[in-house]
Amino acid sequence: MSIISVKSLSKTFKKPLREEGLRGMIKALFSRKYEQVKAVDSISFDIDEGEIVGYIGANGAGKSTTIKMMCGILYPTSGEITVDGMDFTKNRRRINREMGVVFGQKTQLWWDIPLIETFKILKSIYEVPDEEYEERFNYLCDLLDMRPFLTQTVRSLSLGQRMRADFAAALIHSPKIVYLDEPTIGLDVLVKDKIRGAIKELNRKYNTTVILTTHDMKDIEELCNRIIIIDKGRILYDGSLSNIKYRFGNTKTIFTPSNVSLDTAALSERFPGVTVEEKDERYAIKFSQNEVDLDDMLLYLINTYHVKDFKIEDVSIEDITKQLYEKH
Amino acid sequence: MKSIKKNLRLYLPFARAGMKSELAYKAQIAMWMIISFVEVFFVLFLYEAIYRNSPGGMSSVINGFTFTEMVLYMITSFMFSFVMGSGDTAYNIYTDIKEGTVANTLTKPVSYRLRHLFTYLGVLALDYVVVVIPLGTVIYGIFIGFGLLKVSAGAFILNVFFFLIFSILAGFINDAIGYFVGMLVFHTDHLFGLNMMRNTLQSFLGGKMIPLAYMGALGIVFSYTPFAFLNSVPVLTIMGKVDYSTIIIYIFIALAWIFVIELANHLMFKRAIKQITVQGG
Repeated sequence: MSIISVKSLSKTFKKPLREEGLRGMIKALFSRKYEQVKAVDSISFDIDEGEIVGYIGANGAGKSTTIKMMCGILYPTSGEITVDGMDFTKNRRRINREMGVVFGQKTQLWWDIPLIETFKILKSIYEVPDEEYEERFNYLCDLLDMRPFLTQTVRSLSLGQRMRADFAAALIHSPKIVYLDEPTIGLDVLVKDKIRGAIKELNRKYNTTVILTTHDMKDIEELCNRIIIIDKGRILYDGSLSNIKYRFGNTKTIFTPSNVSLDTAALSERFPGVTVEEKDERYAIKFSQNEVDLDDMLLYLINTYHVKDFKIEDVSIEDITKQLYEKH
Repeated sequence: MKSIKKNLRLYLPFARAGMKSELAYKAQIAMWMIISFVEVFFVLFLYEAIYRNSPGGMSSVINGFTFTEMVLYMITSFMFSFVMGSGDTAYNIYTDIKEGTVANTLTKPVSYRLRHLFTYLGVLALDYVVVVIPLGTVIYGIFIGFGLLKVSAGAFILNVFFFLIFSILAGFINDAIGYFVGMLVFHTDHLFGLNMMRNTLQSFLGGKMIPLAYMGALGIVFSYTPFAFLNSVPVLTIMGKVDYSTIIIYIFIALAWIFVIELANHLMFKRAIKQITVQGG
């Protein structure tokens, strides 16, 4: 069942036009010209309960604008958004109660007071019953390993600690929907893993719907079963990760050591459409699984060159988005 | 009644957070207090010169103030202005906008206005407990104890009572003005100029350095502006320089100002919320 429904959503910003240099700045003081910039251009989609959706795009593609409209922060220029059957004009507070938000670079924690106090304030804001709060709070503390810094003031936390705390703060009231806008930005691998693990666990245990924007394609590959790719405010792709991989050739890359002395001409003759590159003391054999069977290729390499050391890579979502952008 | 109770339960944590945040900067409070009193000291030098050179000398009464009353007015005035200057909502809104945390704030199921009001009231309550009550007790204890302020016990208790009422009203007016300035920041993106203007108006129309009585007919007009309630009216009330019928009129005027500014704030918030762009993701 659809929990979020977005219909023909558009957002236009008024951007002041300024001429270059001091003269332009002085001119702008007396007469201002504006241009209309369409950040989101008539997009529509539905998100079902329990889905983890990756909302991706280049900088300025319109993804954060869409998320902010879905959270009720920005007013759409046209179109409509309904969350759990409600719209923001009439049910803002009720919708707010059902969602949690993490904006990677903007904290929702009280800067000058101990972290634990923020959770107490959030408990009151969301009117979470004592028992439920205790259960959820302890669960999140363990899941995100927060106990060692609960009594520290927020301003004294490291970025990794703060992000974990921000993530927990967005979930303390058991929201049905969580919006994560670049939740792993600037974090080290260990903290990223911890946050990804927590997202998976929450989705599994509570069927929480997650909408995630990120530039880290590993976040998408590890977490999302569906992706929406946006560019210049329009949706380029909306579907499953495996489907887009298939659409883009379902490419595999096999890496072999360079001491194998591969006969590239023979390989190309045997498997037409294969490309071979030599880089970082390895051969990279790239081919589409729609044309070449992986087992055939592996058998050929083992039998012909007695290769024992393989590394096989799937096409990355990063490559796919790059191809998609080039295509449009 | 039920809704007031519910709102208090919802927003009191913001007041507590305001208090705790204020307490995190104890050294800053102490520093501002010292600066304020150094400022009073210099202003009093100026008034001492004025009184000394007036025809009646130090025992002159200028615009209704003896020199002793002027000393008490200035000390109380600076103490009150200090309290009115902390926990500024305009600055909190500016920070919200500048750091983009307004996005987080707006996703919470609480009123943006009440959240800021209660945070400010928490700071104000703390300032009263930590600064105004102890310091005021010492200052007025000395002035009454040494016979410098002649007032009966009953009249003083009544003055203190009305002073506390005006303090609460001043808190609401101050926060409403701060919120109004904060709403303007949504359009200007800058606070510095707006705050300079606000502080100048507050200082001049509030009679911080020059009592409004010194400004003749203009002073009477100024005494009805919202800024007068942020200094002049409460200070003159505790000194017993406002008669009770005027006090009642002032209470109604203060309430009317709160209503008017809050109405403007409501309309400005509705406009500002559509203005949000939240650049850079």
